[in-house]
Amino acid sequence: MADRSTWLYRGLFAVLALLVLFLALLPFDAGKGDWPGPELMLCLVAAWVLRRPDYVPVWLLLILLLLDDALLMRPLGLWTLIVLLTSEYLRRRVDHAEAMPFWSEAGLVAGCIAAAFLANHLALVILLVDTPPLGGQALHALATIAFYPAVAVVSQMIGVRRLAAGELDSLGTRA
Amino acid sequence: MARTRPGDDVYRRPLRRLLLGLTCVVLVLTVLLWRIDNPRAERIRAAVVDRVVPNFEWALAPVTWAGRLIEDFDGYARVYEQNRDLRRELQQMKAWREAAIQLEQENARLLDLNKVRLSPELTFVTGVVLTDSGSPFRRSVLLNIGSDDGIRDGWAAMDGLGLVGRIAGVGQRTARVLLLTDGNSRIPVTIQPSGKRAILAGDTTSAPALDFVENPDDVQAGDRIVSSGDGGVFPPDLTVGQVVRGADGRLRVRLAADTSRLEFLRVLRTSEGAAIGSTGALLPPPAGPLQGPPPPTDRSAAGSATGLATGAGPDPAADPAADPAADPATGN
Repeated sequence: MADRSTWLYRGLFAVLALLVLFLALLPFDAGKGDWPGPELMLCLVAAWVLRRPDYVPVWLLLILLLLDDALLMRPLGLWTLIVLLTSEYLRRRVDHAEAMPFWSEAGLVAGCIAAAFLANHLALVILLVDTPPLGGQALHALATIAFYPAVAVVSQMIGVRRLAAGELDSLGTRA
Repeated sequence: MARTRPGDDVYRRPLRRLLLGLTCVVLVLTVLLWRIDNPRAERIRAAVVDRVVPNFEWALAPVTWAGRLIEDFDGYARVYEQNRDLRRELQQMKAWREAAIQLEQENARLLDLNKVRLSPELTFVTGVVLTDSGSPFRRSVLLNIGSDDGIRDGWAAMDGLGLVGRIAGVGQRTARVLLLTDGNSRIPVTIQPSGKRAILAGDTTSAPALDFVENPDDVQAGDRIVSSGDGGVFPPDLTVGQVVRGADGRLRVRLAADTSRLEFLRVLRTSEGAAIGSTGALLPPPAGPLQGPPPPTDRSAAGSATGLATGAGPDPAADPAADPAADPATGN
């Protein structure tokens, strides 16, 4: 059903996600507590889902996010669940997002990112887990929001762009 | 939106929604499992890490090396000042070295006089740091040694200078070191000249805080902190760092270990720590002796059941073979 280029891009997405994970794991500044970097995986998911939802099927997201959760010492499954639900929400918005200008897309994603971080924090509070400092988390979310446009532009450059009107995507839906 | 195959949509949409819902339920259950049976979930995580990370080792090592090279290159810009500082430090160190040698000789003489034998059991295994935790609010590193090398949970990890953290999570080929700066790290320590006990509590900043200090006014910035060995968690008298007063007025500890550049860590082989097998349960006080008249014994149930029913106290009527079986019954 999905043709070769779709599989190629799915593979590319997996490679990019693993690269982000790999860079995050590199042992620099292990003990330092300065600025938290962006959560690039969330940016990547949002940018790709808004452009070509068929390149990021749920099963692929599930595998990659669970791997992230396990390796990055996060609560197993929580962030996966949140990102999955965010991606589903954005997937619903895709049809309507056709004519969306870039900055309103960035605004939408910024809202989603903030909601995701908030949900994560609330879930940790409800589960009575030790939560990371709020200020740090806010900075983390801000950094993620700030990096989204760059990720979106890079994704666009490597060929993840919206379908032109009338084109069929691999799932047979017309744009 | 135009639908190309309307019949397809009728089935695929609800099916997809159903699968998605199932996935979400499974994920929620995973989170709950992580929360409720944490040791088991962390063992699963350790197994995943153990399976995945060593495969990346070939790539991790050169990239880390290159990154360090770039970091060092920044240092070259300041090479002149650094050189001057180092010279000055070297002068001071020479004086210290003389003092240290004299002290060492004196110490050796005194130990000899007292016939002290230092514990020979504190041997160590050295591991290379593979990765760090990768998330901004967790402070841990992964070593390339694991249960195959005899590493156990709870052992202390040091770099050349001071305590770095403890082992939390062991796979076959990898072991995770929870750094002292992590938000979950709590270590019993002694503040050196005064001998006060405290808990070193990490809070993801680079200088962990001192909690439960009895008279914080008695503690001065610059006091030495060593591990206290309370609770049998850690071997005592490992160097941790120095007290500093944080910007928020709390007592904090500047670690002796250089946590921003961890390459090799020594894992101290210490005596058997308590294995953490469950999330913890109530620890009831031991049951007191049975008071009041003994419970009525059912004479019709003869034999070994009699021993169980009569319970505590020396009961000449009880079958001697049933006595060991009676012991657990007294506790209930």
